[in-house]
Parts: sequence; structure tokens; C-alpha cells
Amino acid sequence: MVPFASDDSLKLLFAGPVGAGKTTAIRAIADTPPISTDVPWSDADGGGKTTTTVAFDYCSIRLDDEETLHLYGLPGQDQFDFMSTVIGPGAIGVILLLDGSSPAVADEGSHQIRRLGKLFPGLLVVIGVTRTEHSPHFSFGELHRAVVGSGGATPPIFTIDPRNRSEVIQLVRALLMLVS
Amino acid sequence: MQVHIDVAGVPSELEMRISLACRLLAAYQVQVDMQAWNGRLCDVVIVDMQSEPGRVAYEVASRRSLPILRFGIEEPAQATPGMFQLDRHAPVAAVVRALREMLLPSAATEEEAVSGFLGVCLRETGCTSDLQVNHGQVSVMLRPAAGRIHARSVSDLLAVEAWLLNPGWFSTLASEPNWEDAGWHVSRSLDGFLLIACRRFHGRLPILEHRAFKLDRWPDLGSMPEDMDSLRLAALLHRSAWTVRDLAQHADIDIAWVNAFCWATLACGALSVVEPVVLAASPRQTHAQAPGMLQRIARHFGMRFGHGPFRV
Repeated sequence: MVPFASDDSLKLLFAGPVGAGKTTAIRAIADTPPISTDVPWSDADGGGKTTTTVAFDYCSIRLDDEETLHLYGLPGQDQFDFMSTVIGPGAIGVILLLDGSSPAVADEGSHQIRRLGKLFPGLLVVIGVTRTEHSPHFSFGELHRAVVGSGGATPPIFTIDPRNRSEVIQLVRALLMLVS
Repeated sequence: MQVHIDVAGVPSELEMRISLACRLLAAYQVQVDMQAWNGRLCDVVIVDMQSEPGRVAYEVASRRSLPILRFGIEEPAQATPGMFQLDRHAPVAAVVRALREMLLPSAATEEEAVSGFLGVCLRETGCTSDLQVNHGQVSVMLRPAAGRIHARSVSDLLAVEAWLLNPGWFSTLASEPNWEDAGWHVSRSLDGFLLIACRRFHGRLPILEHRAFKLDRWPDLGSMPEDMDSLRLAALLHRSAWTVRDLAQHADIDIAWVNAFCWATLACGALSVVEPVVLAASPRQTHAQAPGMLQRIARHFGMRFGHGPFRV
């Protein structure tokens, strides 16, 4: 059974559109395999992804004998936003993952920032962009302008490989820098 | 400021570029009166050493100790006070820089003194066009506005890194590339590329003195996952303005590394020069979690609390 951590427990959220790599990123840094609620994706477009998360991913990191950091991957589809209100309270921040190979990545980033702003007002965000190395059209500058235009803040934006543990950890560290 | 710049023995196409450069000097509040040199005293004499009138004018002007900008010199000459030289094919921007340095020497900054690929990036910061940048057989696509650098192979990218400060790079506007056919298969973050390259040459980069800097945005540090110094520097520079020396002292990081970070972020357009005043830190959101809890998370991810952003 997936535990719902209390509001005063330590939580870190992963958000982003379908296929951005949230489950992969969580898997890369967690102590234990995530409890996923992936199901076959009936709308799969042949891009390699055959499942999608319809509720949320959960796993944890044991910090010490007393404390556990709970990691939640929020569902990518807007219709599951109600889940966020259950999971979100008390989170230290959100790591937003975006698919850099998508031609609409800037629009998606803008949409997600507005969405997160509504779901979790005031919560700090760090952005990780995946799949950029073989995406010639990806524009870091365009994404940055779109994100700033949507939220007013300038969150750190890093291009990462969600399979690479140290690159995902760098996102977490950047978030901690903001929180500190 | 009104100046007199005279030309002698210069071919018409070069004269057009010089004329355009003189008009562009208006951006630095310099109004230029340009004419063919008749032996009068003037602020700069521009000569083409490939022509007889140019060589004669050079002899006369140098006897009178007038500042001279020479074109058409085959061999690099020794630096002489008041004497500048440029390639005959130098673009207008290079002519502007040379004239500016001659007329307003104090205006030259460390950035303008840097050549090589890094110099190209510094000059093209904010350019919205794609640029093809070449050095011999090596060619890369620089997209300053997109924050990306593209190459045909990883070895080309490594060559650019190795020749970061070598002169001989020139850039041209790129036609709309057909990405599928042009072979620009290797795509990297420009921020990450410059951070790694500048760090490699940290000992050769002049220290950015006397000015304060602040990050307009975080640089893309995704390709440097083990580099927590850069993470700390980014956090500090994003919150408030620092001089390189003060930042190195505060963060307890070697000044050459801090300086390299600043050069890289200047060249990728993330860092700006600001007035040297003490800036209040940006208002930060308070967080409900107790510091002790955050400290435990930080420790798990290889960080620890210090003064300001988490320390490594």
C-alpha cells in the first residue's frame, strides 16, 4: 500500500507532462524501487513509451534512523490534479521534468509552471529538461523566456538525463540551494 | 566627442566598411569626420599598406607620430604604441573595436581583450541568429539565443574546447540549417560547454576586476553533476551582486575557479555587470520545514549547511 505521508513529513515532488521521465528520475535516486501505478497507455504514439502513470509514483529515501524523505511523482495529465492536493501539502519543492525533444517544450513548460503555481502556490521549482542531446530544435533560451513569462521567477533549468543518478541529484541540490 | 579620421590608399570596398564603422562609433558618443588624408593633423590615419599611396601616407603619418590603423600587413608586426593593424577582410565590428580602442582606450574591458572562441561567444551574446563559427577545418553551429552549440562530431566539439582561447576563429551568419541533412548531430548546452571549457583554461583567463556581477538566470549545470562549487556560485550570484574577489573569499573557492565560472556565464549571457552597490538579497520564500530536517536531506545528497547556500 502506498503511504500518504503526513503534512509535516519531508516530501519532494516530481511533476511534468507524460513521458518527461518522472518515474525514471525517481527510480534513479530512490533507495527502493518505486511503487508505480503505470498502466498500458492506450494513446501511445510510438515514441517508445508504452505505459503512463495514472495516479502517482511513490518511493522513499531513508535519511537516517528517524527521518525518511518521501518522493512522489505526480500524474502527468491535468485531469489527475486532484491527487496533487492530497500529496502536495508540506512538500519542500517540486522538480519539474520536461521533454526537450518535444517541439512544444516551451509551451509545455509555461503551462506546467502555471499549473504548479495554482496547485502549490509559493512552492519552489527546479526544472530538468530531458532528451535534449539529439533534439536539434531544442532552445534553452525559448524555454527560459516562456517559464519566466509564466511565473515571474527564474527557476534553475538544467538539461539532464533522468537515468543518470548524479544528474537528478544535481536538481535536488539546486532545489535545496533555493530552500536554504 | 568629435574626432577626425582620415584614410589613405584604401580601396573603395574597405572604405565603405570603415565608413560604416565610423558611423557605428556614434553608439559610444563619438562623432566622426572622415575624409581622404591630405596631411592634416587628425585623430587616426587609416592606411592600406598594399597600395603605394597607403605606404607613403604611413611613412609621413608615423614621422608625425599620428595614431595609425594599418590594413594589408602580411606579417604580424610588433606592438607599437599608437599603431594598430587589421586584416583587410576584417568585418565592420572588428574595425569598430579597433577604432574604439584607439580613441577610447579606457573603455576597453577584459572581455574585449579576449580572443578565440570565447571572444566570439562574448561578442555574440544576445545574438538571435544562428552562427557558423570556423577555425580551419573545424566548424560548429553557435546558437546564442537558444543556448546550444552543435557540431558534426564530438571530436569537433573537443577541438573547440581545446582552442577556446586560440585566435583565428571567425563567425558568419548561418543559413537556416537543414538539421537532418547538415550533419549537426552533436548538440550540447552552451552553458555547460563554456563552463567546462573555461574551467580547463582557468589559469589563462584574466581576472575580472573592479566590477560586480549578478546572474540574470541560473546557468545550465545539468552536465556538471559532480560540480557543487558551480552550484554554490550560481546560488550566490543569483541572489546578489559580487565582485570576483569578494565572491571567492566568501565562498572559500580559488579565485581562478570563480573567475572561470564568471567568464563562462558572461559568455553564455547569464551573467551581467551591475553597479557596484550592495544589493539586498532577493526576497526568499520561507519554508515550513525545520532547518534540521533540511539539513538531513542536504547531508544525504552530499551537502552541508554553512553560511548562505549549503556548503559542500
